[in-house]
Amino acid sequence: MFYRPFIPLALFLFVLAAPELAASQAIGSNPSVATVAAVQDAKGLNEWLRRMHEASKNRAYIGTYVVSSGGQMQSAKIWHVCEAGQQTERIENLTGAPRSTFRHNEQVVTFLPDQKLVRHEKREALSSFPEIVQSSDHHISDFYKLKFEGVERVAGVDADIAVLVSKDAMRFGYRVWTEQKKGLVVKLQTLDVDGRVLEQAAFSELLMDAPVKMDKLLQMMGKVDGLRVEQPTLVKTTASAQGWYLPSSVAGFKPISCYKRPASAGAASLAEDSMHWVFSDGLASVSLFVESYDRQRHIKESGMSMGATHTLTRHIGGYWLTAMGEVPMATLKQFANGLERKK
Amino acid sequence: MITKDSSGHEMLSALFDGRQVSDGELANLPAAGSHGTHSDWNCYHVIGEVLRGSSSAEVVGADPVFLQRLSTRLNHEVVEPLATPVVMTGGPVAISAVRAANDQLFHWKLVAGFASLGAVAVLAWTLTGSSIGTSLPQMAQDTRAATQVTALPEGPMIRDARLEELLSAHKQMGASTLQVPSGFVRHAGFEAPLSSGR
Repeated sequence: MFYRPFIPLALFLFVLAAPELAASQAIGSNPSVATVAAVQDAKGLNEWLRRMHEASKNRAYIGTYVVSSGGQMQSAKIWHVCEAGQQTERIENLTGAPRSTFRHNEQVVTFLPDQKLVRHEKREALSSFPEIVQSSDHHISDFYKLKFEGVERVAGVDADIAVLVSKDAMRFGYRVWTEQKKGLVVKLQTLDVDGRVLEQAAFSELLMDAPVKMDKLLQMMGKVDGLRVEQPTLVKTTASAQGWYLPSSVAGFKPISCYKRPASAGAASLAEDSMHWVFSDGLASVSLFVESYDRQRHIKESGMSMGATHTLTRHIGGYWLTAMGEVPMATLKQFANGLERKK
Repeated sequence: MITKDSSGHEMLSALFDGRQVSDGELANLPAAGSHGTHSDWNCYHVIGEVLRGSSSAEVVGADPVFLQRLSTRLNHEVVEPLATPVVMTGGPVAISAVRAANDQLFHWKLVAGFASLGAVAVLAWTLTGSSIGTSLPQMAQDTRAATQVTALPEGPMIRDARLEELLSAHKQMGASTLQVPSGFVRHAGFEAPLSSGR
């Protein structure tokens, strides 16, 4: 009776306050806070990855790089320079058969002096990473978390240690040492789901901002006199055009590219060209090679792990799948189980 | 009870039987390296194994002829029945600590002791082995665990020329900035020899 006149006023004030009330409840609720944190994590991770990628392109250096994988240790000397957005690199391997590899952006020239052979190739994957980071938004952060572990001196430079922890068991983690000034990767470990080191690559010697001349490297790259020239061509295609599809891919892995490969040298004369379908989650890649089944060569399904690289073969109808990637074997099995032939 | 003037061999036998002996009686034990002590120890060990039902073929270091004679003699032994068990009729019962059935047998204590010592030795070896490994190049040590070639139940994979070709193609096409420069270096120059992994 006393307060009845105030009811309409109270209702009016409630209508005015309702949006603010809803917003305050939303701020206090976990899903909203988690979303903000997730976006911030994604931005931080993507920014860190972009900085690292830029440093690998833009810093000039000369160094000796050592890779330990599958019980083997191999090394190479690297000269790298970037001028006006153009990247040029020379790699001389110090173990195994002599080999000199030159790269100018996506063009790769490999000299094999023992065979008096030079091979020209184009490798689009070398420039595809920025597009992966940009197009996938924060997808990489959906599957990896970035943590900083400290500082360590590697090959004479101070480096920040970061760990990319995988959020599920379908991919490996990474421990990355980046030199503090610009973010060049100076050491990299691939870690299994238990944190054990599967593979390691690092500079044992490094001279930053070295006086590497691009024109000199390009000159060396063009010296093919007296050598047999090979220029393998890979034909771009799509898995669908080749008659394959993967209805349910492994979480985080997107198809990156698909190529036709020539049939194996030992294959039957009527064998079709094989297909090379590449997937990536931004950090790890998986290749699915599919070729015609040949009972002479494809004896039994098997698997192998060499360092971080795992390989699996599977007989699918009239075809033979070889799946390989720097991922756990369970991930390759999931790919193999999901691959289907179009009817 | 073991008398003071018992021979050292009888003392050894008493120990195997798990009889309690005093410190003074222990002093009568023959020295570990004295003549015949080791062979006596071995004999009493074999006797114990036979009594526990091990076949003569399983007892290490035993003289098979001796085992056969022992087994034959044991078969002719008269086994006295155990005392009649007491039926509990009720009333409060003092509960004593549960003891293992073989608690009186000293050699079981020896076995347990050696097993514990062995476990400690293995742990110590593992720890000292890991510390010795720090003298190796860090990279090689870190990846020792990675040198496994795991095989599916169907069998191991053969690393032939075709597989090497596919590996090379995979390394070239993999898209990851993390692999720069190691990935590029790897597929530029590091192709494993065909003989490895077989």
